[in-house]
Amino acid sequence: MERRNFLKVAGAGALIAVSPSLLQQKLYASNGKQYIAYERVQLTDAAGAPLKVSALKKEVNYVFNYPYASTPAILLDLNSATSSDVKLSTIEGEEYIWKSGVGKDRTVVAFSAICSHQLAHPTPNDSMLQFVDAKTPTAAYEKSSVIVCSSHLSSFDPANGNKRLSGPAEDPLPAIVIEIDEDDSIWAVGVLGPDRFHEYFKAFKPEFKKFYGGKRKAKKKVKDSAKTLVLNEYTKEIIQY
Amino acid sequence: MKILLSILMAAMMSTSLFAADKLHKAQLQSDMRLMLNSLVDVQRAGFYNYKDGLLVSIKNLKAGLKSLKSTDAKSYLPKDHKNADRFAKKRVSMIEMYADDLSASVEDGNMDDAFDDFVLLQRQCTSCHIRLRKDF
Repeated sequence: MERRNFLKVAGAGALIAVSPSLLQQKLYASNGKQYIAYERVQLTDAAGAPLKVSALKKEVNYVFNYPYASTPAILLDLNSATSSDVKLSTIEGEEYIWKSGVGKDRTVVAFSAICSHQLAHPTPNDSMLQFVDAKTPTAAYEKSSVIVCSSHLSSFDPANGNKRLSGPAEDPLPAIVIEIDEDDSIWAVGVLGPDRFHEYFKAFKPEFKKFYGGKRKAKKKVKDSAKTLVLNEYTKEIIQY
Repeated sequence: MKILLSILMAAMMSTSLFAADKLHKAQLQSDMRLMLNSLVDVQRAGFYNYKDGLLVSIKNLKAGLKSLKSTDAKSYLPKDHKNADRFAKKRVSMIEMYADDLSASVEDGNMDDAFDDFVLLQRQCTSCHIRLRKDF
């Protein structure tokens, strides 16, 4: 190999060797505190095949567990492009920037489906937190096409980084950072925003026994792939006001 | 004569339905008070580290859930919150879940977990009441 080519290859290698979380922190947050990189996990459909963006239906809730085996998240393909570079802040005053939705039209987003108020979330038995499509009215907000927690009627805007719109919740919902590969497959890579995983693991111990065989299994990090189901396949009852 | 009999039957039925409804509401109120008193007893037994007292109080609390579980939530919700029936039902199932786990934690002697369960159980009660009971 010629010296010039060798240097190019070595340089490229060095760039890749830099921690991806450092790079992504600079992209997403002013000080890195609100972004955590987790395992890069491919979303798959019910049959285990890679889920493709082109297969997503508009405004349908697709549920997958990430970054832990028991922490539900929802993937959406919205009807219109999201905003870009949305500045958000937590109740503690930490600021961070949500870049935008992904995909060629910037319509694909994902969020942690654990309410920032009292941690309501989809379970295999029922779900009180989900996206409400444009045709469905909600008691939580004057408009639809928002995320609603029907426990205490908080709502969030998925087109603006899950910013809180109404109700007793004080923090935005954390975003699941999504990447789309050249082959149209979807990957979850991290969590951006004020997550409540620690409190969640303390609060739902009895549920973890029932659905996951215990807290230890519930706290296992998802690796390689995450099965993604439409909400009414994931849960028996959707409760929505 | 037939008309008179029909009117009499209708009056008797509506009176008995009204009475049944009143009795049912009274039972529900009584069970709510049982649950409140049981929560106080759980707290007291917890302070004194009295395991048997804890287990009895939790059992009483669960007994108070019976009418909540069997009642259509729409029958006791305020008019402007009738559509929150499934939210109310969910709170009932969560109370039962935490009560069962509280018992298990007490049996295991894990009082830290028991305390967490107690707080989370209370949160279910207040969660419903904050949303659905009128302000005084």
